Amino acid sequence: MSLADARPADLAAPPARQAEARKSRREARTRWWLATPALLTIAALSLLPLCIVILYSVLERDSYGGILWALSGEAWIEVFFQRDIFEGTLAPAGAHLAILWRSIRLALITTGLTLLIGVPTAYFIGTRPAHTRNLWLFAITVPFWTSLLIRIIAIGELIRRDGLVNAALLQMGLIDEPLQMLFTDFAIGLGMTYVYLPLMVLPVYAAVQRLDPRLMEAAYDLYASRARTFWRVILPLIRPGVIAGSLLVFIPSLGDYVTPRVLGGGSNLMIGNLIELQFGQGRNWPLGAALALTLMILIGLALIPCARLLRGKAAPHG
Amino acid sequence: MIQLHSVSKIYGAGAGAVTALSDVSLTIAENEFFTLLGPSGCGKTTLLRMLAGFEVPSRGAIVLDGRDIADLPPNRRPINTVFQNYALFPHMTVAQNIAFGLQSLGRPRAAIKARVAEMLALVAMEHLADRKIAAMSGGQQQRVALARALAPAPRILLLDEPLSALDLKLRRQMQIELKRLQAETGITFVFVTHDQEEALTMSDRIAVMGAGLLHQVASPRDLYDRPANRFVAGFIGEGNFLPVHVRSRDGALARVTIAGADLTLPAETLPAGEMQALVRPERIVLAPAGGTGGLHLSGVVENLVYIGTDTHLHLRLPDGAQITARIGNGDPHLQGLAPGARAALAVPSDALRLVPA
Ligand SMILES: Nc1ncnc2c1ncn2[C@@H]1O[C@H](COP(=O)(O)OP(=O)(O)OP(=O)(O)O)[C@@H](O)[C@H]1O
Ligand SMILES: [Mg+2]
Repeated sequence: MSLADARPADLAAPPARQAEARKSRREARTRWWLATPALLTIAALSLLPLCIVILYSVLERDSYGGILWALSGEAWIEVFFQRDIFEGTLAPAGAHLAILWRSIRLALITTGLTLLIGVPTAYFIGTRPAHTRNLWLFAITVPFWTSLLIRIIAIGELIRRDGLVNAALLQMGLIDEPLQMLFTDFAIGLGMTYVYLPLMVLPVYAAVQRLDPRLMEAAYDLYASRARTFWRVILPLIRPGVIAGSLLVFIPSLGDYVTPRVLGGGSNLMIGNLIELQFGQGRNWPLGAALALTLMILIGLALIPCARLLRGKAAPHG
Repeated sequence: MIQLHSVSKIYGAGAGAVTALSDVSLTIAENEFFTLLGPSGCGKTTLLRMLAGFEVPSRGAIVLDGRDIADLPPNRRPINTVFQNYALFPHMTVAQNIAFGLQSLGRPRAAIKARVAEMLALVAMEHLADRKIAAMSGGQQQRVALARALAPAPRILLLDEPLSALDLKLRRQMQIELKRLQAETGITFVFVTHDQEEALTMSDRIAVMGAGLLHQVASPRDLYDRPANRFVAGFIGEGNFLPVHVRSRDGALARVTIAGADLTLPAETLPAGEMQALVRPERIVLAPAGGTGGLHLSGVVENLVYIGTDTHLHLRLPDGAQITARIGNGDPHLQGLAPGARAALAVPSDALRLVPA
């Protein structure tokens, strides 16, 4: 509602009401001012680059890197198709699709594993007595003290052919020769699960903490087993936390670049690595931009069902 | 029938241990409206939680139909609870809340539907079956909590101060409702309150508790007329407590001095040890001084408080003690009495109750 719309109604209203309306308008303006730095930051550092990426994705590539100022749809075609150099015919870009599929698959697996490990952990911490709870939370944040890169390299060391894990398995006689774990999808999944686990635990913990323990008692009193209490009472009530955690894990793991680079070796690329490749050795900036946008669209698609799940929860009574 | 045999509950261990209940034995009969009454912190909730299965007794046995259930978890006891804050599932509708226990028990779908409808009718909430819990008033939530706990037809229903969150009018209404539900369903109710009036009006029997001890289990009338000790007498209704001095006991008779007046009483009415005389205000009458039979006291009127049908008369006795009498406003002796005047009171022998101090 603009000021012009508001005026006639205000004139008709008694003076006290007018003053009140003026005051609330003034407050609303003040609040907008408070948000200004954040809005400017978002505009400058997020919207502007996004516009540039969109623009680059529809320009022609310069074979020495960078772009030529001519409109072209080639980059978007290249995301999904391969052009035969001699005949000019299109075939599906098998390598890209494989990388895209690996990215989605690994991100989903990572989200699933962090759910499987993180939800019980968060529940455990959230139901501890108040003073021990902080100790457990502290333990969750300890890994952040060390650089991400070092932690991922350390995982690589552990699962090397002659690493600690293989040595232990050999020692126990569970395997006859070392397993190839490093430079596989398994290694990437393991690394991402490890790295993103706290992002699942923390929001779920916040939700668990708000749970009324008497609801669990009520379920238990009404003949529910532990499993039934979890599925029918606990899970629905911590759902917002679980969805938030899933998004916090799924989104960065879908676009992860460091973990596949270190643990996946050169051959197990994810979409993040593919994008980086286009801006580096590949010298195909428009394709890199188009791939980056494809990733964004994928994430947007993943958000839709989550938003619906959350709204479904909040809808009936606000 | 459920029995507690010497049940004790100690929370914590070592120096920080709290004895919430010590050596409680009682029997609750089938179809009884049984009330646990006592001041805050006396262990009512602890006792109820042990019946429900949320706490395990430190000592003693809880026997239901001849079986010790003290170690049985809550989901395997035919006992349901109405929680103090209702603890309704906020993400479910009224009907889903009521159906929850039946679904846990794996009842067939059609049976659940019928039972939920029956329960909704029982608490007059048919029109709200598909409402979410958040959109309901305290009184409505109370009814849903009752329906939810009654739906699986438990042997015993536990209610922990279910009415304490309601305003007075709604409270009265729910008291009547609860009595009706108990009569209609024939389920044993174990009800917790610290409101003695509520306990007296609703219960078949009342257990009076104080500081982890069970003082007396009796019908409301017996608790009022024949309290087992000073604690119960003071907790139930109003009363005057007068010092008692036993001068002699010979055979069936005892000669005692109560508040300076001599009296001969049947020896069997005297408890062992120290004692006090309980006199209910409404059993005291205004009488000319020097009458015979019963206890006669005279003193100076301190105050007269008009309370509608009656007047509260506060009398200061010669030994300094104060006594309160409730005199009907029709009593001719009341005419002309004013603060500062002398007055004489009589207490019939059968209105004197000697209780252990
Ligand atoms: N989980 C617990 N740990 C330690 N002490 C407890 C615990 N629960 C209760 N207590 C103690 O046991 C005693 C009895 O508590 P309980 O809750 O049974 O009292 P109550 O009669 O229900 O009181 P109220 O009328 O205030 O609800 C209290 O002294 C209380 O502090
Ligand atoms: Mg209590």
